[in-house]
Amino acid sequence: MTLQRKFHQYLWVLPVVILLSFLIVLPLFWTVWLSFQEKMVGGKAIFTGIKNYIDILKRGEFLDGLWKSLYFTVPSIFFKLLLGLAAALVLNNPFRGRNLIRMWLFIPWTIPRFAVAIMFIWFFRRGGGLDLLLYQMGMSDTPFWLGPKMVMPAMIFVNVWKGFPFFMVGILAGLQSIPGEVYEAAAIDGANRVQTFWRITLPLLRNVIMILVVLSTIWTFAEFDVIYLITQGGPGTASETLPILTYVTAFRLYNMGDAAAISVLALPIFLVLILSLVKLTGRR
Amino acid sequence: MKLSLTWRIVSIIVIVGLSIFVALPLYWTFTIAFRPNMDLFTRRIIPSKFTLQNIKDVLLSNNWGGFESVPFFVPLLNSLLVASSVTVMSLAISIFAGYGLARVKMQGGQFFESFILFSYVFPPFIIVIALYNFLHRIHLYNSLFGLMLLHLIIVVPYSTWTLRGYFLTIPQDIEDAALVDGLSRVGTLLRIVLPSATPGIASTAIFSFTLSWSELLFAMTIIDSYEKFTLPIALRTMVIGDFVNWGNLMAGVVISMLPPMLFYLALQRYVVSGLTAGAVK
Amino acid sequence: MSGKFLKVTFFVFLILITLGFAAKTLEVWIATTFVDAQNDWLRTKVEQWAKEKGVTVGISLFPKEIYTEKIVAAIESGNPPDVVLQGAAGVVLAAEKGLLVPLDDIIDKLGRSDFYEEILKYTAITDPKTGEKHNYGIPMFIEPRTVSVRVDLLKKAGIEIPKEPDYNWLIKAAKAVNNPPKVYGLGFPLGKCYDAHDNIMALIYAKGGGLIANKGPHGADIFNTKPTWDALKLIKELYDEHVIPPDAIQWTDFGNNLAFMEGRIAFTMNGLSIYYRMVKEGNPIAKVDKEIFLKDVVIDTGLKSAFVFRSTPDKEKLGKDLIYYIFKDKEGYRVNMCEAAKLYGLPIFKSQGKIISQEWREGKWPMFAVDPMSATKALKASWAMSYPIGEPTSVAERVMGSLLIPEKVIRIFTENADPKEVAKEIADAINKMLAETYGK
Repeated sequence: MTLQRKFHQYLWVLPVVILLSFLIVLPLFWTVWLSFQEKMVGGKAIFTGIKNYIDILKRGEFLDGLWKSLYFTVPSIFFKLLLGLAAALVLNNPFRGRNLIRMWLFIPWTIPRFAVAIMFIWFFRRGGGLDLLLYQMGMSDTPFWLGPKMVMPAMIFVNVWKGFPFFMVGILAGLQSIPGEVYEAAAIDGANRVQTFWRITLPLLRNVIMILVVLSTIWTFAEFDVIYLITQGGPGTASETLPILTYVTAFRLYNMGDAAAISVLALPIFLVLILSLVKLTGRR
Repeated sequence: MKLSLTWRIVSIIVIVGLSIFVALPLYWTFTIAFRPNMDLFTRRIIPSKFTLQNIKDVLLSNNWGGFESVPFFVPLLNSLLVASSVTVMSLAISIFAGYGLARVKMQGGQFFESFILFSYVFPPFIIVIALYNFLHRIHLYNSLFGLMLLHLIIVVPYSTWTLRGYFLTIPQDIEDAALVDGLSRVGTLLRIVLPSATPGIASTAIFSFTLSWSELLFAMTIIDSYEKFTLPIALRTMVIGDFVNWGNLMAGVVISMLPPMLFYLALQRYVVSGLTAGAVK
Repeated sequence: MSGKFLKVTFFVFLILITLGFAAKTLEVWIATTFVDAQNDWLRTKVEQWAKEKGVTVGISLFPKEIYTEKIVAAIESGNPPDVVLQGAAGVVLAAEKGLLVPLDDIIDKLGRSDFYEEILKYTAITDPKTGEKHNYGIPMFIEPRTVSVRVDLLKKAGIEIPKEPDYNWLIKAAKAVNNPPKVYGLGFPLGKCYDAHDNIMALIYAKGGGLIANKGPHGADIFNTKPTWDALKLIKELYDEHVIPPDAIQWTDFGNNLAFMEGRIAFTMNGLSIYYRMVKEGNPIAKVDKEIFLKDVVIDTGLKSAFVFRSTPDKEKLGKDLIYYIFKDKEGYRVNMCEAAKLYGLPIFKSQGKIISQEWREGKWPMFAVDPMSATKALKASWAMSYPIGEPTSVAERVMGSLLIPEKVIRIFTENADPKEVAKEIADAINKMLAETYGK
């Protein structure tokens, strides 16, 4: 009886767990296995121990990719948080047209990633959207937005554009869950707006913001579609973040073993982020 | 608290600045979609005239991808079919899983939570070849159903996780009363919890739909025939190596961003309370 | 109750998962080009053949961007299609792994002597086991890179196109018409794209250099020699003098096309796709565009081939028969694959090439300043075939596919890197691939 009861508990999650075990965990184990093999596309797998790992670390491409991923992720998150917070703080006060503005600012989040990529291929290309605007404003000497120097800032721009509304609505929800009495008490104590923000609002939002940051970090770190569609990791390797490096290694260099090793090396980063997310959202 | 003048000015700057920021790429997308193609060679920002030609070209011609195929309606409908089926299938199992995790005390519950969270954020490109293999084995290669199955691994962890969070925000008292009255857990979920969880479920559904709607990599690897193309592949097909017909392409972009956008805007009330309460809790 | 409900949900799900259809058909993939006529003709041919022979075929068409991912995944997972038409990537890779059926007998049946010799080299791949060379594919057409020339600008500068133009002439002319920022002389793509690879390699070949000399672990040493250094230095000079537009470093494959169509560059080396597109869109520049070949070197952008994967003897036979059926109709081939494409693809058969040359003399192809079939005289390399080895290798395909060369070369322009150092880096990377693939 008790055993059956116990089994019944798990029925709640069973379908989901089976689905994900088959489609994520098994392939993942396979990937780990593959990372210890010398394996070219179509060829036989030959066990070579940690040779793939040594190779990619020695060639420096992993660290290079990691650096680019960080260079892409950290500023993206910072600006998304900044813009999201600013928007949320403004939108938290009632004013005429507030809903309309909120809707408008929310739009980028609703656009599919591949569509965003295509929009920005046009926007950043030479003589494209941004250049034409600047040209009309009298600036004809614009940098190459997708050139080696500007390509990462441009990709960050795209990521921030698409992602800040998520922070906006998240923080807005957090703000609205702060009871009004807290502010009233602060007002009685004579705190001004800036003081209230630093001393009351921000600490109360801390958890929400942490969760948003971690979630968004994971997504941004794994961003593939947008960068790949716009630059393929170029020019040179200027925008070759880890996901793109993995993809190019597998599908363009036909080296499945190395590609698997790169993903496995990237895994701890994701695991750390995921564990901190579990901790942040833990209810027990 | 009364709003000070500085605050008002700062607010206006923030709103105007952000609105323009959002508007820039959107402006181009829409104007290119609705203006004659030759306009682009003349460095014009304001369209010389309004035309539906591009939209017509894309929707009605069979030739949007460089070969005689099917009207653009077909990928559009395929995407609608896949995304809505995925949403329904995923909700069917995630509502239970999410509720189970939120309310049923089970041994190893935290393990399952971590597992689902892990799946939620796991980058799928790492396992794409393995999945390709798997679909061949079970004869679901080049089928929309196979694609739905793969989309489930992206959508299910998300919706389970979000719904779990959402269920946690619902006060437990009513449920407890119902349980005491002799209703089973499933009965409680279906009759008591679900009706009051509509905002959470609606927003989860919308986002699930969008996730499936935007998925490019799986679709690209496992769909072969153009009559089974989804929108992302169709648009990828339109960016053909050497050439881009910007007018047609942007028309395609507009068509493919409208459905999710309209969903979000129509159900905006739910989205803000649901999406974030779920994700953030 | 709870258990029952969940069980039902679960079983419905399981049944749905296992529901598959195991229909046995001949899978035919057509990697599409941007020329509708080519794709449509091939498909019609496959359908006709299927009807005549009573074979069920599953036809899939997709553009090359998607095709590359697909063929890699298919080969890797051991589930390749039966026949591929117009496929570029994958043919060498699959052949070197022993996955393809030799098509020598089909070539004999079609008349070996009617093929341009260079063309058959594209797919003559060494079998890794026997060490013999077989033709594992038939190239669909010759896809030469032409140089698009703005004749109106040349006229203004008082320059004429010589009978046999070469690189020296091109560079001189490009400098003469250079008028930045309005019009740049030479549209030389330098971004992370295939066009950049081909343009850089063409210049290196023209200077007498090479990419891969043999399959040994030092086979790419030839890349790190004076011709490469000279070529890279020359590009750098042109770039610094603004003969090459500064934004060329961020061009993707359509960067130079658009620049030419917008009138921002006077010359660019590309497939004939630019002309094809301008005519289609009614772009006025089409009228002042002439296409030429440089006598030093002509690069084939393609290697789009037809090939058959090993499967069962029945299917292999059918696959070969299908390919024979398509090419047997040489007349239809010329009209639909070549002429309808405005000669973006040139015929692989001498008999058809003669007709094209005749038509050119009669003025049918005014965009060509020279006989289009003269391209066959200087063919040096294609997608996977590199010079001087003269046979396709999967290493060359990887070099092309991964865009290794443009990826490294760009540092010369952005970081002022030394061309010699860059050449060495590239040669080392290719040597490593050679050792990996063919052993020491």
